[in-house]
Amino acid sequence: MEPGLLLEDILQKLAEEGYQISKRTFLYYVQLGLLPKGKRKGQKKGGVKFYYPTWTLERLKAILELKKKGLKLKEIQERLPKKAPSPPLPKTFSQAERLKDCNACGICGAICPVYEEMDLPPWRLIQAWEEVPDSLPSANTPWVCVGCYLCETRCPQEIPIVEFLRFLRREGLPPGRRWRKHPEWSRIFWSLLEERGRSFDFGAVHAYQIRVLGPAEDQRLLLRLPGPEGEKEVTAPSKIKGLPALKRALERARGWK
Amino acid sequence: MKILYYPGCSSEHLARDLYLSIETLASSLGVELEVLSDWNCCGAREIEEAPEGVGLFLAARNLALAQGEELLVACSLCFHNLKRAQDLLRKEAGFRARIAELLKEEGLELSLKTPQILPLTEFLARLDLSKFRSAGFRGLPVAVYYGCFLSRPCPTDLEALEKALSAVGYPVVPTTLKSHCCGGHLPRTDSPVIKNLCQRLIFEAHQKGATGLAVACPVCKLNLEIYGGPSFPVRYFTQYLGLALGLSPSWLGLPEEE
Ligand code: SF4
Ligand code: SF4
Repeated sequence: MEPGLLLEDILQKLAEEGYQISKRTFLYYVQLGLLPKGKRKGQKKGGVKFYYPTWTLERLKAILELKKKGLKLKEIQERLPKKAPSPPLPKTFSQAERLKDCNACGICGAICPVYEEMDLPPWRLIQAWEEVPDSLPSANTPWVCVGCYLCETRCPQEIPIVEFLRFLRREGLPPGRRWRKHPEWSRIFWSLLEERGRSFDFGAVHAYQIRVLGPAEDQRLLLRLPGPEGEKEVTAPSKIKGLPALKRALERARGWK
Repeated sequence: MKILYYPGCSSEHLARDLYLSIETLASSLGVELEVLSDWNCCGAREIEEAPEGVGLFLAARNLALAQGEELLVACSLCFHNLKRAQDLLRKEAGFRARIAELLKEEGLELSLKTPQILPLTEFLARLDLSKFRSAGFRGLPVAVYYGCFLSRPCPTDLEALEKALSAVGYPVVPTTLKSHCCGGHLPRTDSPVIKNLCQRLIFEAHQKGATGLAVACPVCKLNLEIYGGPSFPVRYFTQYLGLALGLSPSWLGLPEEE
């Protein structure tokens, strides 16, 4: 059984796709019955968390799209399907044929510089995929991979390992089994890119903490550095001229199947 | 000489010192940097979570704006993203057609042949730097570090740093780890893994008698500074070049006492 999605996961995913919605609005929609209720689950470490069914994501997107068209919440409610949709089919990896050549020699795991951070080495995921694509374990591997390509250059079978991990991260695993990586940074990254056409390599500032103050037009970004420099303010990136067209193109590119 | 130049987002803050040193270096070498008009973000590492079209479009828009033979790129991650997209668009007609559609929004067109994406390392290595060396400059031995994206999967000239630095008078000590990984964008910040990787790189340079490490990539530099230990200098190769040309440290984004 799918564990479902945390509210944070849903908001992150939406932000990556260029939608903006607050936690409060989300909960309000749940209250109105526009979105399904979350299931309460006790955590091993104590406390409880609420998990929403994975189709919440698509449904919320549909709501936001209808809202963009100027529809009122009541009208939206009437238009939305009443029942939960059937689960989407698992995506296929375009170079799946090549994975068959993996001989499980283990070199990719051995050479990987960040292997110790991984739950499983890349080849274990390849083997699992080969057996049954749906049986993929929820390992953090695709997110830990830093894309150094050392494995690919050493793989005797020329397996497209990095592309495969990229695929898993992007669409190969159901959202409930995706490992989360700095949702806050992702959100800021994409909202800056949407609003300005330029952003900030937040990945590169993984050792920093970031705070964003103020609305889009008058944003202040504060970075906290680990060293003696302490917190410093950085200017938000300048806006590009072709922003409206860039936004439209990005929206279309996001719809790629 | 004029060259079309893609600064990338890191030029505005994270790697301000790299860009400062590039600008200073360019003016003293008589190179005119023509900033690519209306360039946009390449999507950094975040595009890997988005549908393929997003990353391809972000790169393609820049490539289509670049009307010229060559496009100079300083950041290794930008280089990787632009190059990967260009290769993919050259190979896959399907992607190309869909991207062409998106570019039409702004009346842009993608050329299959140009621009050639030129990493800063190769660009500086092909200039005759020796004649700019300041009289009386005696360089101390340095080691170089390319990191991943200049080495794989689209290898650039992996002697470029050595060529440029030795042309201005630095003895370059050979190392075996110059194309190894610094840990890149590893998500966990308290990881002993990234510390180990960075300290190993510094250790080798130090062991081989280098007095500092010359790097090309903003992420590598940040990682090495944060995790590599405080006592070994890590500088952009452009900063080293600038010092050899007798340029003021502050113009190169270095503290005055250097
Ligand atoms: S190195 Fe290549 S062949 Fe060997 S286990 Fe890894 S993917 Fe398979
Ligand atoms: S590309 Fe990813 S999986 Fe391969 S060696 Fe590098 S970090 Fe490891």
